[in-house]
Amino acid sequence: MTPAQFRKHLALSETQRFLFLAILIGVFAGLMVVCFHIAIDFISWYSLGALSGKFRFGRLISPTVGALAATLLATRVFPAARGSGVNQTKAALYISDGHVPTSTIFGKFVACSIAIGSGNSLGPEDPSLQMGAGVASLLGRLFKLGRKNMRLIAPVGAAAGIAAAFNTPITGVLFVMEEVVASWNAGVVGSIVLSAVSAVVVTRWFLGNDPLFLVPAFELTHASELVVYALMGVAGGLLSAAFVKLIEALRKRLERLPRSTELVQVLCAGFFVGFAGLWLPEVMGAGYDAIDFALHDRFPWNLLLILAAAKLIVTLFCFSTGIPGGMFAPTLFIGAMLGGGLGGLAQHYWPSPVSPGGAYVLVGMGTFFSGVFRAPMTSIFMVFEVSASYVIILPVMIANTISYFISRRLAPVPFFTMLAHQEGVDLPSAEEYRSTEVLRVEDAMQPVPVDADLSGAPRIYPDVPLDSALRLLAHTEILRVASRAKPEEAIGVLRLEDVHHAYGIDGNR
Amino acid sequence: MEMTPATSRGAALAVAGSLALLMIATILLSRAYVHTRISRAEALYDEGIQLAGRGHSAQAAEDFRAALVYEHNNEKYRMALARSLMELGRLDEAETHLTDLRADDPTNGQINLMLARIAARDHHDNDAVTYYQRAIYGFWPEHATESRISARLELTGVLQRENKPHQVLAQLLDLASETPANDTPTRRRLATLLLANGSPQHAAEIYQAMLKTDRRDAAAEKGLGDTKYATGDFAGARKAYQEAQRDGLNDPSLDRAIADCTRILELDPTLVNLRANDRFERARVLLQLAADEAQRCGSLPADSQTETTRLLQEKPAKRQDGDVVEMLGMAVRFGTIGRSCAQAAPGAALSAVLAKIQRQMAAAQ
Repeated sequence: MTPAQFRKHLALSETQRFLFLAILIGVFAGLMVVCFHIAIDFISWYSLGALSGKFRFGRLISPTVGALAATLLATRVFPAARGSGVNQTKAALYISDGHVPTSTIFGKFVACSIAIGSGNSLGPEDPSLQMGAGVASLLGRLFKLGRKNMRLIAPVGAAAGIAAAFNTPITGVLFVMEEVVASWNAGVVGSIVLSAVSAVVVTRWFLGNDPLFLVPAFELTHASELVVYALMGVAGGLLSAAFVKLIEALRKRLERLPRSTELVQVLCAGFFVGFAGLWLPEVMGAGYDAIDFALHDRFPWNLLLILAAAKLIVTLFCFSTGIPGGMFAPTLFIGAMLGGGLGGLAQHYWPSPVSPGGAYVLVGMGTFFSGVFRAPMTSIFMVFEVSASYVIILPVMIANTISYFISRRLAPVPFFTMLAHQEGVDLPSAEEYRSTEVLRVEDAMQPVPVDADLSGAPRIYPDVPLDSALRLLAHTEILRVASRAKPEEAIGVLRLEDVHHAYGIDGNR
Repeated sequence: MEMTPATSRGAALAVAGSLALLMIATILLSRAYVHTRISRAEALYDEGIQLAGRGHSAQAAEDFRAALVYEHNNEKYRMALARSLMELGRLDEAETHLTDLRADDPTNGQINLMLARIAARDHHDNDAVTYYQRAIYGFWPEHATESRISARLELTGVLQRENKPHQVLAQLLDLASETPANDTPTRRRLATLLLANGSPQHAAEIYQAMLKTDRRDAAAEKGLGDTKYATGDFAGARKAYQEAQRDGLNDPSLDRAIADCTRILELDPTLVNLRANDRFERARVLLQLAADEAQRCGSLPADSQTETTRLLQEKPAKRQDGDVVEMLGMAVRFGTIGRSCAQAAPGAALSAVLAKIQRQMAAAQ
């Protein structure tokens, strides 16, 4: 073998390069998220902590100044870094062939760490997702991936980013598959899993193996408790629908105001967060410590409900005014407090014994998440992955499914689709995609005519998608539909007009 | 799009360089982060310890809680928080922390002892006993013997509350073998508990051992007197009490105890070397006193009353040993009636004599 042949032998194919890149993306995204996490904590310690330690009204100053600085950066220096990040990643997949501007990575990093670290009620997960997508896009361009793989590279990075931020690889993979890619494409699943796992490994290497929450042991105390979880699902569904509607309405109203008021809006939102933080410091920032406290029954049920309401309002203002940051953490916070509050009520008034409040906090997190983001699988697995408890699956499934359907009924447009519409972008909705019915041959085939001669007609099976049948019908007039059990026996026929009927093109069906 | 070897090499170098830079930045940043986190947590912990020392448990708990925000898994901070919460009476929250700690370190004596105290305060006695036993046999990094003794003493309290005298006695006997000879306060407490739990012989052994070390230990002499009193050696008890008094024990109950012993010795018909007449006379007095006590309860049966009158009015010429035994038997029976009646609880001297007679009768049978 000559050296040239050897080099050629070692050269990676595009698919192999893609898989290798997925690992590399995971490592980069993991490192980036570690730095992001540290930056948020440092800013929080030195702004919020130090100011609050010196005088109480420091809590008013920190989020106000932080909101202004972060928004100025996002609007004037890194305009691509605005928004939650999920829609921008979807836009990279569906519109810009996987291109995410490199400035997004730095913009998101700096602006969001200032906004969240200074105490504004937003989370680091969606920005991490977009930073991951940005890193992936940059590496894809550097390695000159083909157009098809370039389009898929952004979700791979997004999965790495969100998995690293949550420290939960399964949740990261599921969210991206459910919300961003919206299909279980075998080619992309492998890469997404690889990147998510490598990102989590890097994060754990630097930040430790601790899960996002230290969850106490969970057990279902009594079968009737499932009714309480179902009621929690109803409450979560109603509140999540109201939350999405309120964001939509407030954003519309704020958009009508002159552009010159943009910074005033942000200042007001930051000040409002600080004002709420004077009495309820738990609502400031991402709020994971407060969730951890709630998981360990350290708040009374009435305070939990007050915290849920307060967080909902401050998040509404922070997000709607455009302060850079994500929605995942506030959503988990609101759900956790709502669940914990309802669980506390159940402990007082439910006739049979119920679990400790921590269990309700955990289920509540998934319930509200499911209602707001309409990602039921992610919400179920997220709680499962965070709690590491099999027993919790049943209550979570009940509560999340109820919440999902109620929210879907009351707020038909999903959260991210609503945001995309408001931003003037038409992105495919993952929920719509999942709901779309794929027509198959069996939906259009007709009975075999008595005098039909099907000797030369190509054979097709009833479960084949109608699109595939259309390609065959370009070369023949009629197709013989046969069952897989008895391929020689015709069970029906398919003509072009039948396909048209099925698609409703002629309007007769 | 196919990459040329040159662009491929360039891309690989750029990626490797960026990765190295990012890695270095992350390492430096994470070191600074960990350092800051630890120093902030440690400062809060130190402040919390000072506050706890000054009795400000609520503020101390807030500091320990804040320290835990920085260092989630620090057992020292969590333990300090649990202790403060226990002092504040927030047992549920303290229990949550301690349960978390126990999950990581199930043999830790301190954690099990604190959980036992919470369970005992919540009247979950079975859990308390289990936790106390785990604390006794658990790992104590320092002061192991003292901590185990303290845990066992607390366990006896719970067992007493649960009315399990045999288990209490078993724990006390274990304690007696574990407690070092120089730990006088614990041995004194142990002897008191042994006496209170029906083992005066073991209590006496402890007091005698203490007196061997210090012959003028007045408290031990009084304790020894109590054990002798409990076993019915009233003469020995009086002697021990008198010695305690002579050695300077300023205890007002001693005079009363000596007086009781003297009265008992005057009443006791079972003393050796008594003449028959004296024995009969003492038995008669004893029966009279016991009957009076039972009478006060209003529950003296009519036939017993007749028999008592007959025995009490017996002519001295007809006195027989059988009558003495019969009188004492009746006195014991009346004493039992008197004891069951709150208004007419028999006096200490009478009770002690009757108890002694009862013991001797039981032994004779």
